[in-house]
Amino acid sequence: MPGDLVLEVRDLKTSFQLHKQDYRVLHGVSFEVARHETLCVVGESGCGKSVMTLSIMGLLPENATVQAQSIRLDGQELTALSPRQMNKVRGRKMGMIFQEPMTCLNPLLTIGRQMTEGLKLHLGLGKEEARRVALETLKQVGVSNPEERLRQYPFQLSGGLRQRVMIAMVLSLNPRLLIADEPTTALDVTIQKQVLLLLRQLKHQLDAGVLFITHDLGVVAEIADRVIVLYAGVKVEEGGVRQIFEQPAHPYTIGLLAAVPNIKSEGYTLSPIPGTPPNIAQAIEGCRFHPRCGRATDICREQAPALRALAPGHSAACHHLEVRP
Amino acid sequence: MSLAPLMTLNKLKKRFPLGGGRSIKAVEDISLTVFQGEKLGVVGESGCGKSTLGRVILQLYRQTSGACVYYGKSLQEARPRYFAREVRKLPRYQRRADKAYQRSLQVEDQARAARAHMEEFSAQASHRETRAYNRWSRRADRQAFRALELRKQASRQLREGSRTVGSLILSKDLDQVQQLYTQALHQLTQAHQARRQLLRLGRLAPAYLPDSEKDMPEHRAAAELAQRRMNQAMDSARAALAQAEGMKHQNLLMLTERCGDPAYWQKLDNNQESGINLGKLSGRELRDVRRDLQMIFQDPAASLDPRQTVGRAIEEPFRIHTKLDKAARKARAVELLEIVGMKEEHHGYYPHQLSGGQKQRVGIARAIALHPRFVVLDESLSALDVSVQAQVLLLLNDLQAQFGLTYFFITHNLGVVKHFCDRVMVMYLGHICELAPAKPLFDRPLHPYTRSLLASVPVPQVPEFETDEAPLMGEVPSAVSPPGGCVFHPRCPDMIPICQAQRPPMVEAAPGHSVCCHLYTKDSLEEVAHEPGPAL
Ligand SMILES: Nc1ncnc2c1ncn2[C@@H]1O[C@H](COP(=O)(O)OP(=O)(O)O)[C@@H](O)[C@H]1O
Ligand code: SF4
Ligand code: SF4
Ligand SMILES: [Mg+2]
Repeated sequence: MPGDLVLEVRDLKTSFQLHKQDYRVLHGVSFEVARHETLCVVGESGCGKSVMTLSIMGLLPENATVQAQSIRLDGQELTALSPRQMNKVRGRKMGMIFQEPMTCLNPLLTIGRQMTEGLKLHLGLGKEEARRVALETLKQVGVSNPEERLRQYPFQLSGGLRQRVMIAMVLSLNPRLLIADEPTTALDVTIQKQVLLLLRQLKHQLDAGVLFITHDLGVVAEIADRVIVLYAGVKVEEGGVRQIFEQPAHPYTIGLLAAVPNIKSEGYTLSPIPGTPPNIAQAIEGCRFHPRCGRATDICREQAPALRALAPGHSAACHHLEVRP
Repeated sequence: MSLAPLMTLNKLKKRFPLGGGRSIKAVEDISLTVFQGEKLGVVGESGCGKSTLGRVILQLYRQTSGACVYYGKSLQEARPRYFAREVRKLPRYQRRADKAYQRSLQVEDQARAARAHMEEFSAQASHRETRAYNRWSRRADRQAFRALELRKQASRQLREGSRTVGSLILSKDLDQVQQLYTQALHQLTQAHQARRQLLRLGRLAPAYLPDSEKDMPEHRAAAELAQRRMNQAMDSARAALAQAEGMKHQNLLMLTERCGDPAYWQKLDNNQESGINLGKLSGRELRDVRRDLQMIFQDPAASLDPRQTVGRAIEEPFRIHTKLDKAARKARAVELLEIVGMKEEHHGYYPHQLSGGQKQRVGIARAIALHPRFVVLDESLSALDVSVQAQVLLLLNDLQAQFGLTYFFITHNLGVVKHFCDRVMVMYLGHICELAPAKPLFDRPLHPYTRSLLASVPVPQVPEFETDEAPLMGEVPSAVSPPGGCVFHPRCPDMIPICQAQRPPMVEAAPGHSVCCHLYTKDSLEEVAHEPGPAL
């Protein structure tokens, strides 16, 4: 249902210039997000998750270059837009939730002021109307005493409450795409669970798709419909959430799943992936995972593997997919 | 894991004053024994006091009250000056206890007198009479309360004294007790000096001296002499202590009405500490003990100085605590790098040239440099990626097996705790909720908080069905004015009436499995039975 896609990204390549040298961080990533769907992007720190979202939103610093065949949001091509037009799209059609809501909230303004400003600016609502919508969305995300919250400043709220307020703020603008970058990482597990359940409920009510970034496989299992696994700037595997957790194919995905100490499993033995994820300055020929891969052979060191379909909706990039360790 | 205690915490409390008589109650009444060689996991939501507890144990913060006793060093190994201080204070404890008790008797008399006055008036008569009645009644209550306080004060003084000499604090011949202890201490100091000499000669810590030097004849003679001196001093110290021990339970001063009760003597004897009460050490004495107690922090980058090479960072503890020369220090640093799975070349690296996992390895190398006994890890792996986290856990496992380390493993990651720790302590708002070996804790959690916490942990398995309700609603209340009764009651799904009024006691629900919840005490089990609906 191509008509139902809210986001379509083709061949996204992003590089940074540091000390007059170009370092590529994303090596051609493609994916799409459909309406009422949560796509999780999972990978270790530095693999390019956040750069990916910032590339889509056009929020990268000056020294970054974004190249993409196409980035379409709700049918509109974003690659051709000027920064001013991009600004408008960002406010109207994309909502963002970050790990630390304080980075997005103005500490000097009350919650009410910040919520209504956005509504007035982007949706052209009047003062009373904006206040009514703000109250309604706060209630919708389960914030207690919404009237009082509107009068409070961000620092007066706990981390969990701030994250709820952030979500309400984003929701009130009725975006087509919700981008959540590690939104629950700074929260305690009990509060994380509350926020994840909230996001899951909202997904059905909203007319939007969700792009959810996380490093935590437990969170992925809980919230994703589909998953892409990113390693060192490359999409190594993509599939439905059951495909990824029950039939992982790529050696990296398999290794990652084996490294998580799971509270539900018995007799887990600590099984790390040897080595560390590469940093951007390291040039790696062939498969980017080969220095850490137990299945690596000569071809892996020479030739980058292409994505291969394994089942409908499930694909992985590896020369030796059929070899089970 | 042996069952020898390495550290006991006794009613440990830490408050951070805020001014205006208010304070953050970060750690409330923690009593716990940490055993030698165990990996104790400490979990709970942020702000539950985990980190504060770890820091109080290491005396990075001083406790507000309670004791933290370390058994890894014997008195003669630690410089026993604090012990000498306590011995000098013994008469003062006794005197103060006596004074508080005598005063409490007087106040009690006054209270009785006030009550007698009160009864002269009647509460139902004229307005004036009622006022007089109320006045005397208030005074009587106040004085009764004050007497009680004084009684407690007396007990407290005796308890403090008993930490050093047990029930001998009740002795009429406290002078003689004091003398014997001073004598023993003098001998212990001698032994300590001889021991230090042995250390210098490389006889006790072979790692610090090259073998060739240890076998030189003049060294051998000096070492033998020191050894003899040490043994003699220890023998006389033991004799003096034994003589004091013989005076126990004889010739008692009847300071309070409990003083004749053998159960009370027993209690005081139990208070006697064979370990080192860390809270009573002075800064310098603490430095000596601190070699044994190390901490590994959460952020590997923040704990390293960016201008210092890895080698220098690892050698720092040797510069501070040992007299090793440069070459020996470097040799030890390289050895340590290898132990933590790094290479000699890393010796010259700067922190920014290392990955997060490597920085954490350097932090670990530094912490184990002086062969500590007890290591506090505060969220030490939380900043690492899962693939690397497992590598560091394996390293910690190896080191534990190799050096018999004891870990106090603070984390919010319950998955790691389940697979890494032997025992788990669950904390909420400064209190222990549950303490049990890892397997029963995860298989059969008892405390309602533990259950909801476990149910909240995301698992890397696609759930069979979607739930709509979070296992635990609301957020952790403020530690400035925590809820009364059971601190968990406002969020507890299993609350029963008694929970609001009374703090639950810690009970051992199964061998080694303790839980602090009314659902598991006898009284409340009966109350539950009388409840109309099922509470469990
Ligand atoms: N130095 C300090 N000054 C004042 N309050 C502190 C300090 N350190 C910790 N606290 C408070 O003590 C409580 C427990 O904190 P902490 O032990 O850090 O919790 P945890 O490690 O479980 O996250 C919190 O309310 C915290 O704000
Ligand atoms: S292509 Fe080769 S190195 Fe890369 S993941 Fe597959 S087997 Fe491993
Ligand atoms: S004591 Fe009561 S409130 Fe506290 S945990 Fe147990 S049942 Fe819940
Ligand atoms: Mg902490």
